[in-house]
Amino acid sequence: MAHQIARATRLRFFTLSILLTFMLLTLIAVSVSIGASMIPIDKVFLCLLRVECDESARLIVELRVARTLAALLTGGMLAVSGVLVQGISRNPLADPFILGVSSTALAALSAFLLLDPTLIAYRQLSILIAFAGALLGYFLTTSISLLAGGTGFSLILSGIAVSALFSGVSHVLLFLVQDKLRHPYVFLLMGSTSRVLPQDLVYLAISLVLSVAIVFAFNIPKALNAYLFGESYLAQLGYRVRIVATVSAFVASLLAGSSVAVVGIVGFIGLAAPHITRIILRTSDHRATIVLSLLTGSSLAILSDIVARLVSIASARGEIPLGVVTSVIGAPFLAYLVIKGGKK
Amino acid sequence: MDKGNISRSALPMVLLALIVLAAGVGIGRLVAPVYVSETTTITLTAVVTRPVTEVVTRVTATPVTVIHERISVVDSLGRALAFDKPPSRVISLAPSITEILFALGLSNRVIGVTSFCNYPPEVSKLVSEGKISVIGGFWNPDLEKILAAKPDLVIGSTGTGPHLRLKDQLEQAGVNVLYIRGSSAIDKHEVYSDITTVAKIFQIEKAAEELIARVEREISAVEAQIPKTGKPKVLVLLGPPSWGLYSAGGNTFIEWVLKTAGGVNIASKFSGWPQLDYEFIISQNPDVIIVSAHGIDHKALLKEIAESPLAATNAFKNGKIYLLDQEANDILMRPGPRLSQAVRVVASILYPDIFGAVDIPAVIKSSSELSVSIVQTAVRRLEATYST
Repeated sequence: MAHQIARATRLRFFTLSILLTFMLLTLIAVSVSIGASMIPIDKVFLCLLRVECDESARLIVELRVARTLAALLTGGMLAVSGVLVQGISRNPLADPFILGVSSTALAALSAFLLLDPTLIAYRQLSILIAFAGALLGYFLTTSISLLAGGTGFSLILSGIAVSALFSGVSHVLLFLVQDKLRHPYVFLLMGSTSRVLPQDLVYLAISLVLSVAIVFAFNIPKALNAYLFGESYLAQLGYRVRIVATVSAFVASLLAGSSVAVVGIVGFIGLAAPHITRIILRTSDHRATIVLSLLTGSSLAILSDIVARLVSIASARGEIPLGVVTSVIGAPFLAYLVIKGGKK
Repeated sequence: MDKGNISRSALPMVLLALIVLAAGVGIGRLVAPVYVSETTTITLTAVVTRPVTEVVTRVTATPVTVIHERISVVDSLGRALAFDKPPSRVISLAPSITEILFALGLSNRVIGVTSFCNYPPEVSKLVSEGKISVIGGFWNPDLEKILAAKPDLVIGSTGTGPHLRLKDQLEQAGVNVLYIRGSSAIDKHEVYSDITTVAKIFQIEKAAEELIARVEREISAVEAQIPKTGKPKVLVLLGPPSWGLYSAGGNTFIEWVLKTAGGVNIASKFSGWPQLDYEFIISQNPDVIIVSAHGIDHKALLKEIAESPLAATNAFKNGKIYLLDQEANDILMRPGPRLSQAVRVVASILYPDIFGAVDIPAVIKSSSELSVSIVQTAVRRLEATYST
């Protein structure tokens, strides 16, 4: 019986992987062919395949590819980060930013802006500062959590404390920055791929590769599977709760932090993608969900990015922040979650 | 096995519930708009915008003999305000409003300004002498400081959210609040109507007429020299590119300034202050890029632009990137009496052959080799005409 179930799950995993990859490729193709400049689609693909390409088309295609890849990587990273955070907290409503990384990134950036407003003109430097802020947030959360016993539960509570503190601090700082930089600050770090440059993708790629390596080196998926049945069960299998929680939180922060630094805060993917993955897979086996959520998260992000661009092309409003679109697409799903949760 | 059965029988129930819910929401949507569309504020403002200017101009045209009992004006929110006598303790919530008040010669009635208000230079002097208090920033006016100054009139801008949010609290405290278009003005006529509205409260319509006539004269002097063809495409960026590629859309006073100065705003199909993306900018290929860059190191900003996709535009290739800092930035960003100067600054950026090099300090022009040359010529030629 158990054997049959395992086999059915494995089969479903492979079919879904193929299907989702196919969907992702389609979305990438659509995303690359849509843009404000309305260059013909055949020209785009001739350019991509390096058949023939004039200078202006090459630049536009490069930017579209950068946008698409940024959305793809951000989506995948936030989804994996979400799976890890939900796993260690055993809380279906946890999302990557619950560890406090986004608010500390914003606080770090605004503190440096206050020292020197010119920082905003150095994109690479501001990405690094935001990233450093995110990691600082992680260390703060983890230290508080370790003082409180180092369980998944304490991790979430200390994360909430850290993010509440720093979102307040960052807004105070940004309020002060206003006198130096006379631009509305509310949109700082609001996630959008519209200003991503090709060279920024390196940061995303590095942290993704690093995270995947750490996840498999520490055998995190298996440990999280065991953790679903409680701490004692995890200990029986020879894992140390503290190490599993700390490493997972580190990887989750690394992923969320680098995406915040490059693209900005994109909500809902980290929450919704793991759930979508679990529901379509009909299992919570982290070995499968971590891999598959990469695909669902990327698809959701690219879809949102396409919608954001279409809105800006068709309407008079300009670019909508990516985080807003993901919420609009993700919110009905939350409603579904609530209904499903209520039934249990 | 039991569990499976339960979930199997529960599934149709859930589906049914969802369908009912969806139907409910659908019906709700169908019903709701009918109700909403009657009370929607959009129609209201559409109705209001025209009459405001008409009312104001019509009243100013009437002979002065009648106006003795009460002064009444309609502000840009369509509210009617009445005064027994001209207010004597006025607080301005925006630099452009301060400029209007001072240009009308009301400097002795202003008791509070924002920390952004720095023009005319008299304002900073009065602030440092303690005759005018600072009541906070443009985006974050401080209610308590406003009330502590005991004003009898506060003037705010309709285009600024924090100003509108102050309305109820100020009214409750018994302080008159007047809203003028301010940053939501879309052309010179709305700026003129702002000036007229303010002047009417102080019964100095004559001064307003003169001020408007002068601004109008200055604008038409520039307009007359603008070539009819070969207008350059212009991109205005509010802040450096990494701030988010924000620009000025088709219904802003910046669009009007660009158009009047003989430029074509590439973002004019958008409304308000839209965020653009690099692809849109490159496909539009602006000939001139004007960046509002207050307080940012110019070299660093030009370097950022050089390393961004903006380097592919004609503007960059021909060394036509202009950074506006300090006074130049203030002139372009404030819909007040210096509107004619804004037109002039942009015209000299777009047509240096006709208007000569820009003679406002802190307009920084990039050369094609990226060496920054700060244009510093004999300054304030324009300002001489402005002294009151």
